[in-house]
Amino acid sequence: MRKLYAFWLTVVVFLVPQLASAYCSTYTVILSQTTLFGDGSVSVLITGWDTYEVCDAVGGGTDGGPDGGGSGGGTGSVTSPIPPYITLVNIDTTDPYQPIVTADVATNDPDDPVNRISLDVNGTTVDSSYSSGTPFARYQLHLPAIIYFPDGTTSLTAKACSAALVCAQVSANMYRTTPSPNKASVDMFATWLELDEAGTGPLEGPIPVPMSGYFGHSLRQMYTTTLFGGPEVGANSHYLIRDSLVTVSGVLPVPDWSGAVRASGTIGWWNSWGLFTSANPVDCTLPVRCSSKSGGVSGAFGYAPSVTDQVSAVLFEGQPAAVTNTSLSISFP
Amino acid sequence: MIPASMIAVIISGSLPALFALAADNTKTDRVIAQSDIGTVHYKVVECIDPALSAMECHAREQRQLTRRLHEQWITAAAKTYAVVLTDDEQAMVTRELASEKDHFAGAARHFHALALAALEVRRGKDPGLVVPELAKHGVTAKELEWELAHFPTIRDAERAAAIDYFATSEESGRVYLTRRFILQHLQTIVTKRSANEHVSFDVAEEEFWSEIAGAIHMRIIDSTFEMPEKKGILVNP
Repeated sequence: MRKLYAFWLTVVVFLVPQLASAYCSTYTVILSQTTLFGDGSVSVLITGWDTYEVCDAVGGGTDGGPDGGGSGGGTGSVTSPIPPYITLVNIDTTDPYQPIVTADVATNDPDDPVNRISLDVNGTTVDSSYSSGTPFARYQLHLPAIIYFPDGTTSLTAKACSAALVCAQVSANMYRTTPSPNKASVDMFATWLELDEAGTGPLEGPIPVPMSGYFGHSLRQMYTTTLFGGPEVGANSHYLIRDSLVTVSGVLPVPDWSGAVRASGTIGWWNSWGLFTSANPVDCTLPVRCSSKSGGVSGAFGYAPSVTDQVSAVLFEGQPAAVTNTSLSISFP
Repeated sequence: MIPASMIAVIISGSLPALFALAADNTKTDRVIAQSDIGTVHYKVVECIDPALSAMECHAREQRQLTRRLHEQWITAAAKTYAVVLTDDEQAMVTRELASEKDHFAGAARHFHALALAALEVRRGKDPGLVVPELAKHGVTAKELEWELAHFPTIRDAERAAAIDYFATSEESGRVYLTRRFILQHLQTIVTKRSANEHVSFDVAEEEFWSEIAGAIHMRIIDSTFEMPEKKGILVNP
């Protein structure tokens, strides 16, 4: 009789990827009994194996069952974790500089609770939070300021994952567009003084002579819209007011003027800005002469803002002037 | 409305020029152009805007001369071709003039306030005290600068202050609105010539104004200025 020196059981686990299911992993557990005898011989007895499949996709998962075979029978199966539940409550753009994505998250599998909630922008995580530990909770995740997003479509994805990395996600798109500027125009009627060297009258000599004429006055207001393919609250990022271009045009003397623009309904830090000499629009060709000024501030957001320009301190080639229709407004939408 | 800070900047930037102008009364006239209709006088304009270069200042003078010469051409052409407004056109001028009545009243207040301020300065009042008062009426320091530059004596300033600016402003409006229709009539004449002579509108217009300028014997006296281009006047009447 060989002397029994040692005896132990071994469990070997093989991880076998299954090509047919990208979200599933298959585990094979082999149970064996190893005996070391006094004469140095070793006996290994396979007592049985079981195969399990674990899936992390919604609705996935296949119960692993006994796979028979071998000398031993199956020892049981493991139920694949149930993914959590996540829904997008809203995107809050009350402050477009600190937009918030709110999501409700529920743990569906008490054995594999939600562990981490994250927010991805075009596949890159921009904010995340650990689970509160309760089966159901509402989470607020922060988006970067709207102004940093380019024009076009941006994918926003809120994701809830369990400790076993079983995840659920919900997505919404952000759409940003910078269309052609909105334009408003009006005729300005101007009267300015010119010097008449040969003036006549009781006191002969030079006199100021009024001259009159119509001039064009236009305001081109550039803007960017931001919309979401999901529930939005606040909506103050709907319009981003960009540069204003004000042009005074005519075939008469070119006016010198000062200009400013005031915005209403915006929540940026600045709601008015000065205008400075700028290139003229393309429709300024002789004999029409133009004098254009532009300016703007960064980040004048608003839900339904409006802008009003003001042309002031008008001189016609240095000559004093009085002008009507010096103000124009554009409302969005 | 100009912010108070901006007014302060304007005042501080313009006061030295205002004081200099207040003491300057040596400007003289010169005749730049002449025609059968009349002469075009200019004061020897020293650019009062320090932001303008000599070249820009001369370009400004040339543009002002061009407008005055164009006025003479248009007057002569209207006379030559016996252009008169239709009743409808005349009625439209009257209507537009009436609709701008408030504008003319505002312009009159503006220019009168300016002329009175210049007169006060000529009588010895400190321009630094006058400018803030003028700002309340929307008149800028630069406008006072222009007034002082062009009416350098008390007599000049009195003459400017005695003008009925409402009547003269309204008259300038009438001239302008009437001229728009005259230009449209002249445009029709040139369009027909262009078709009859099988030439472009540009060429026909150039010929047209050359004839008019020649007919009134217009010539430039001061060689530093040029005869204006004889086209573009009827493009956008």
